[in-house]
Amino acid sequence: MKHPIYKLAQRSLFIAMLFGLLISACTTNLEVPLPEHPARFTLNTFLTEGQPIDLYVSRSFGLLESVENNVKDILIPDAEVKLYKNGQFLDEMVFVDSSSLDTIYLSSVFGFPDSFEVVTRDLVSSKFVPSKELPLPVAGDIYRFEVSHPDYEPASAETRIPFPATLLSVQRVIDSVEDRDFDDGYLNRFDAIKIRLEDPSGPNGYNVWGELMYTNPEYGPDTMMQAEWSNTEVVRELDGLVYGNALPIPDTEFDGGIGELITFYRYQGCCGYPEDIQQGRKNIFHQYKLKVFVLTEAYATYQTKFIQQRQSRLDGIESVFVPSEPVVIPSNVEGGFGIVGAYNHSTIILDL
Amino acid sequence: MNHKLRIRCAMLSFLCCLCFLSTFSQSSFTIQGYVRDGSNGEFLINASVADLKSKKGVITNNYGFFSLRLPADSVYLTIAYAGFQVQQYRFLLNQDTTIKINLSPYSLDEVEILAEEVEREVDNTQMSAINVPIQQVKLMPALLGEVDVIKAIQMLPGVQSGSEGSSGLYVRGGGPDQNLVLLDGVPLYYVSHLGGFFSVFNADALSSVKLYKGGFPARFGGRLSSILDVRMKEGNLNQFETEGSIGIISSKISVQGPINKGKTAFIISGRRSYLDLLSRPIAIIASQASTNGTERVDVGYNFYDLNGKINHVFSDKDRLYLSMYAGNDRLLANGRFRYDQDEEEKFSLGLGWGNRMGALRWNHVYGNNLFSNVSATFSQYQLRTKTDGSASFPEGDSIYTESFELEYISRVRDWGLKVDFDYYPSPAHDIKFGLHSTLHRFEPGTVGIQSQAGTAKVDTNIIAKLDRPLESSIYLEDNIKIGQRFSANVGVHGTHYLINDQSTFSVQPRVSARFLLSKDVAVKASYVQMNQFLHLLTNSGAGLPIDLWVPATEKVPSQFAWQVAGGVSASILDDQLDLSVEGYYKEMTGLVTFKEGNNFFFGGLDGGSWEETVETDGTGTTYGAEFLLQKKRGKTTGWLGYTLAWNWRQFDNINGGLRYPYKYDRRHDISLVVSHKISDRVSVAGTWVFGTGNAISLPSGGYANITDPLNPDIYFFGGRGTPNEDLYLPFRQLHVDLQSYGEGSQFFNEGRNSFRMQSYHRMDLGINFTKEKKWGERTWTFGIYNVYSRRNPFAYYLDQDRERNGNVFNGYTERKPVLKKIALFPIIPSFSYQFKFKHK
Repeated sequence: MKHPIYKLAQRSLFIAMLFGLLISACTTNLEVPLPEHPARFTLNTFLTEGQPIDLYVSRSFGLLESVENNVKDILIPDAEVKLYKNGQFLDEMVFVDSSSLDTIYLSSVFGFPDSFEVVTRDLVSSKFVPSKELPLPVAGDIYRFEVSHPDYEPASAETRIPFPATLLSVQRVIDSVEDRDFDDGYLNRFDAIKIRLEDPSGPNGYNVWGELMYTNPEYGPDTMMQAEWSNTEVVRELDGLVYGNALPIPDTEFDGGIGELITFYRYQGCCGYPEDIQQGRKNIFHQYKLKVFVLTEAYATYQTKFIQQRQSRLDGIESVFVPSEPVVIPSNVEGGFGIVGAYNHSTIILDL
Repeated sequence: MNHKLRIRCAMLSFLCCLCFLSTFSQSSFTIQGYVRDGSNGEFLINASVADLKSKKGVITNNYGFFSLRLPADSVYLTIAYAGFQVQQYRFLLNQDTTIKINLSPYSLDEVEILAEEVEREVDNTQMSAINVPIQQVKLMPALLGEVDVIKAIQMLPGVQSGSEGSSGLYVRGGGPDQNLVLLDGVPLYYVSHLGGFFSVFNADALSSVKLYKGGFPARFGGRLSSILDVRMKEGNLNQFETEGSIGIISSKISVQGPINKGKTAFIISGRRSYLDLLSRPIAIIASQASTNGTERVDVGYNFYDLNGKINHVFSDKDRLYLSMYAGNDRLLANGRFRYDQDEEEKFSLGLGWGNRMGALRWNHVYGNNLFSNVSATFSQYQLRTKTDGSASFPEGDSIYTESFELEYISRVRDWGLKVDFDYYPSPAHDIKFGLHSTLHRFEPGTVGIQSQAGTAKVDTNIIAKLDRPLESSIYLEDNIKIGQRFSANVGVHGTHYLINDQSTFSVQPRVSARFLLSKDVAVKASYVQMNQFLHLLTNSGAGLPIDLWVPATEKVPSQFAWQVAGGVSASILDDQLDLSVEGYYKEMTGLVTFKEGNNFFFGGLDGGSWEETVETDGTGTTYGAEFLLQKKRGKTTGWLGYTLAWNWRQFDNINGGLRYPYKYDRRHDISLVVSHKISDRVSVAGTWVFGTGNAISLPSGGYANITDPLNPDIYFFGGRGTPNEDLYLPFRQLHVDLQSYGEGSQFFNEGRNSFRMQSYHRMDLGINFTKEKKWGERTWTFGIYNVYSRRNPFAYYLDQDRERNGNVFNGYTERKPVLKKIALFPIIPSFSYQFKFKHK
């Protein structure tokens, strides 16, 4: 998450530069033709221990191809998908059509004040699944997909279900960091969490997620909500006013050995607000649940680059004047695009 | 042998040579003095001073000084400078002699007849260097009539301009940060106005401009790719002169003259644009008229340059100069929106950037053959933006007020001390040596934030990492002549760089040689090494003021380059044409570039160090050939330039570690510049340029992705997602929304900078009408930029065209992706009025 001040700085400087250029120039937009793009397979899945195997098979598309209006156009239901486990052929997967069209929201249209846009989205969950009941994946299994079709170059990818990390200890530092929201000046408080773990061998990445069990006495004892688990923001880096983006943490420094992860979590809701403190309103925290995810190296790299691309991507004309160096998202699919990743996790619950 | 020992040995050897040379036969005597323009007392740089009898000669240095040691004999001294009448002296040299030489300029109608003194490339030892003809530049057609030296330099082979209209310089494959731009010997960091469409150099204030693309003499250092040595006029010692011009977007005026005739002179030159004088009242009136006075918007932009110089002649041996330059761009926007009595919003935006430069210089002549120049210099580049806003509205019985103020400052400051010597032991040696030391202060971004919302307040300063490196250099070079055919410039430049108690020392050898095959044909070769201890963080390359200068540090080491060049120069058709063909090969290391996904906003401002935002240890390889045919004499003058070039970059973490073309890898670059004097009163000029399109990274297409269960940035169920497989799995889906910030699918491309923009070409024409008036001289200049209105690409971007589908909610449901091109300048006519007053 980027702090609002940077969005503000970005916007004001951008406007300034854009204005400077526009007043000095006659800008004309001209359409530019692009060469045709030969489509290639796109394979996507994230496998984990104890969950069924599936694979999303689609094709890539040209930059100017209008696929958003009909997502199903890029599916390849008649592809031949072979599944291998630990080098042995396991199954020929079958296509299951389970997509639906849903209206998500209405949106105003920039430049057309009297109009709004009906944004619809295909919930395309059509995918390939095993043709028969198979044992669920376990840690250490290596799965390989080989996909072919007469109209496309064949593609393949493989991944190994990682072993979960063994959590050795968790140390919590209460209120280790404070900062204030730029918008409202309210205080945020963070606890630091130091996790010692035994890392499974092989290059991996880590993601840590948390949930808080708390009750909220805001409306008085008579109306106290029942304690429940609630997501909480876990961030990896705290530097000045800026929260980190929870990019996967590589295990390069402790691969296969004992390592430490340091993350932070933010108290939920009102606890730091001056008005709340004055009025004695304070959430009551009971437990903190940590989930430590181990990602395959390819998956961790993919996720890192994906987040970086999203953060740096500016739309339309903004990208001309404040361009970022393009982020290339790597693929572990031979002969195609996409990501075939796998993960596993360990859980620990702290009493607060 | 380590570096330090080697450089000490080299220095010792050279000093021994100096001692030997200075004990030259006492039957020789020295002729020394200054060569000046007799009409205004300005010193003439690179004037030729030669004894026709002994066939030995020298050229004047940057301060018009020369020293020539000759045997005691009769001397036939000839002094020549392009555009001036030759002066000759015959005398018996029997003692050390000082002479003052004032050359007279040719009158206009003499130029065609007496043009023997036109500079010939074959005569220069130096290769890959070009003197930019300022008078010719003034006649060339220019964008909106703004005469621009940098734009003229961009038309030379080996030099590229970057984007349309940009005043960035890309020399022999180098980056925009690799040019050392010296104004009176002081580095300037940012030389553009209006986002790069104009340079900061006011041609009326300049006396000479020289560009070195390679074969750098040892006295220069600190940049890899080029040296642009710009010298300001010194001021007329004899009489007052006023000249200026009135153009479409700016006007300028220069005044120079004696304060104490023959002893002290000054020049002051100013230029200001006046877009804001028009735009501000128009914006205010238009906004108030269209909203019945509830809104008031005020926008404006201006830039200015102010050059000044004073020089004082204490004696034949001592002179003092004080130079200064100040230039700034300022963009402002203010708005006030009053919705009712108690509800109002205001905002104010100011963005300013510019340079300040000052130099105090003392010239002194020791004895007959040692010239010294001691300078104390200051240079600053600063970008500053300030944005504030407030809103007030009723809340219950009271008025609720919110306000914020944001200030951002990025600054580079240099304080320098330079001591340079020119030593002339004999006509066969012209030795230069000296010491430079510069204390840099880099402040690559300080943010100040103040905000108030009701009773809550924030008042914070985020100060970026401050660095104060000390860069010191020592150099020694000798312009050697052996016989009539061979000459060489041999030297060494050593740099010591100290930052955060870490020091680096580099030794950079420089060699440039010429061999005359005949009177009119010479072969030349050069080899140089260069080090650069600062970097420019830039995405756009468009010369935007947000580009950040940062120092070399332990984490981000210095840049290094070596370049070898060879070529042939020929004077053909009885010196009517000068032909030069050069080939070069350059390798660069230590290059930096933003990491993938980083830029000015998404990098250093994030509160972290800028060092974390860049890829380091990049390499660059660039090679090519340059062809230049110049016509410097006659009624028709100009040049034809052609460059064939390749330009590559390679970083471990970019493009999979594979080398990729630099953005300004331009295979073919052609420029044609022609001026023709129809009569004393009318001249015409035209230019035509062609360049291969820039290499850019453009996606080739996209592919779908699926919901990532562990991506923290994916929102679903109204909150930041937690990987809960039970919730997540039924909703895992394919995404193909290329434009969305949400879970959109991904672009792919065929590699960094793998897409070529369309080629660039443009023709400009101009005509000048000059007339003598009782009060002086006036010139009307009319020009047409982009005569055939070529829509040259400035940038491409991906957009969506919406197609009306009016059945549902009056909405737009179909979106079609399109790639769009921005073309900035169609055909643009311009005019300017120039005047020059005579003062008696």
